[in-house]
Amino acid sequence: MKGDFVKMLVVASLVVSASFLATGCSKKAVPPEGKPAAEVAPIEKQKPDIGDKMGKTESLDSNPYTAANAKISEGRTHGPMLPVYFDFDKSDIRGDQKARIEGNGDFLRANAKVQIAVEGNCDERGTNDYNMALGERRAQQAKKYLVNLGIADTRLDTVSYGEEKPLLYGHDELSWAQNRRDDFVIR
Amino acid sequence: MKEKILDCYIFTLRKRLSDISLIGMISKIFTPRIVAGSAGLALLTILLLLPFSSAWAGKRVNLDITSAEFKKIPVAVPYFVDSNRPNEIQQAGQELAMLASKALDFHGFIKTISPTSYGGRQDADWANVGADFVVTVQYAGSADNVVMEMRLTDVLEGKMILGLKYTFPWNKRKQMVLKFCDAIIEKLTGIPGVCDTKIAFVSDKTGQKEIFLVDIFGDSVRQVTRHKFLAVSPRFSPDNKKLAYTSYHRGNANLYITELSQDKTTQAFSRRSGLNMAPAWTPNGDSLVVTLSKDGNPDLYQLSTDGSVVRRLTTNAGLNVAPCFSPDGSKLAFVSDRTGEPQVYIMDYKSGTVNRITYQGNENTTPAWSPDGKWIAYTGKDDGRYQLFKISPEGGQPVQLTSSAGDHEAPSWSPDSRLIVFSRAVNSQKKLYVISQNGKDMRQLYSFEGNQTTPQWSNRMN
Repeated sequence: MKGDFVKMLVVASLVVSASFLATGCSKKAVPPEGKPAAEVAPIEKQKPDIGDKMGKTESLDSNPYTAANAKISEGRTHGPMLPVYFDFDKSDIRGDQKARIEGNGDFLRANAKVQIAVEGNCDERGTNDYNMALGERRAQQAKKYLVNLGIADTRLDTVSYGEEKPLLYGHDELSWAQNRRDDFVIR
Repeated sequence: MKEKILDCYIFTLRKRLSDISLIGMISKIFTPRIVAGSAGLALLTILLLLPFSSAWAGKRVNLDITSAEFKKIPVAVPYFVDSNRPNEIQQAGQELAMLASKALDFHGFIKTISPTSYGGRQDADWANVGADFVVTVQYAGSADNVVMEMRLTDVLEGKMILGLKYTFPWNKRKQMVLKFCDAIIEKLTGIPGVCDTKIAFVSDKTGQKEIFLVDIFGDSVRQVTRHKFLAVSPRFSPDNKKLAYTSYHRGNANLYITELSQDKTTQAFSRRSGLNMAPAWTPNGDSLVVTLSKDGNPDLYQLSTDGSVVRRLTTNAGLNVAPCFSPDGSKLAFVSDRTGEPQVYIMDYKSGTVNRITYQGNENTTPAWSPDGKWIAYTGKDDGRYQLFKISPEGGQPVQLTSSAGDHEAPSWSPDSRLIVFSRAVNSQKKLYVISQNGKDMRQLYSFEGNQTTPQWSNRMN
């Protein structure tokens, strides 16, 4: 992640899960009403451009697809791209996730200057070292998919966080499913 | 058995404290010999207690503590006595006796007897107290120069079996007591103790994961990294002088190596695109095996000490991670999911031939080769939880070491192959524990704030 992002405590579970469900890609059961599903992790958010002095000269035509201006869509992915989710201990791109990664490919094709990191994540089960390698392979699988769609591999870095940066801190399938994820982050 | 004593004596000299120079000492043939040391440092003399050398003729004390049936040895450590005030109990004498008890108990095969049960006196009736061995220590001197005489007595034989005399400044008293404890352990088992070792681990107590070092008693904690982002997977170099780890603070999972003699700088050792992590140093320190994903898949590579790739060790066979050398450096244990599930494999380091050794269960990871070469400890999934196992490097039936609640992960052996440190997660709290290599006597090591994970036990420091 870039230094432009600061961690802010945002009660974002509703936002995240609402957008998640709205995309129609969740297979998970909705938790019983009123019962918190899981603790919510801090979400990195861009630093607002504030300060005591005047700002720098900038273009009238803002580019939303820079690391400084991009907005989180879901997980830690920058919109309009969407994260892809994985089955336990798997790194192949699931059939129901292909539309997402192809959408990300369309975005990258239309915005040729955008460089991204594909960030692989795992749920907490399994040992740290193994999950680090598993997360890397999840990121590599998405990278290969995008390269096959015609995206230059020089535009695609991979970073594995293994189980070290969970989005949700719960110890149940609802949290785990969201943590088994590739994020697509503009650099 | 004179030979045994002398071995111990030589060992004691080798383990001299790094910040003390040996200015004068008596050699093993009791002829004074001068060793030049850096100027201005304290005087440290180590002498054998002469009366005991002639008395020494008893049986060899070498206890087999490896069997699961082994019962702990009862040892009494009465309060240390100030020779100038032999009839008073001194606070310092009590504290040092407690330290010695803690150090002896730590090794897992000794149970020290509470001094309060016999008043802490050095002249108690030891057979009646129930002690098989007694540790008695007298000290005398000023703040600058203390002479400490330490004796280990076999109660059943009625004989002193180890006697050491140290002269040192008072502020080194704890180190000297621990040195004596390591010598006691060696006298009893043939292998020195591990009082002078450290454990590296990852902690999240600052809010981010950083690498820390601590002595085995948890008394002095040192925060090694201050990258303030995410640092994982610490690994000691074989000489303990360097610590490798993976940090993400520059946007890629880069492998860093820092010199532990200082706390200001570190250096990226491998910063290839993607994963650079968890090195296994060859035991002689001349190369490292790391997991890289620069070619599109997490695979093992041999790097030279200048960071350049010597050769790629795995290709087209799932992900390959968590390398660990056999003590002689001829073989490499690692984890691969080439069959579709993670299992432990052993590679012949020269030929590259690979054999799978774990077949029980569908998830076996983080192999750790014991320093004596006899076992590979690992994390295995058992009934949905993670437990520790050990298996012979030749394969065969694994031995389950842990079976308690929670997840037990990432074993690392003590340099004497007697203990295994690991992290255990219970109720979302991850803490460091040790267990004896026979699966007995699991205990929590520290009660530090936050979560502690992926411990690595150092070699002996000196």
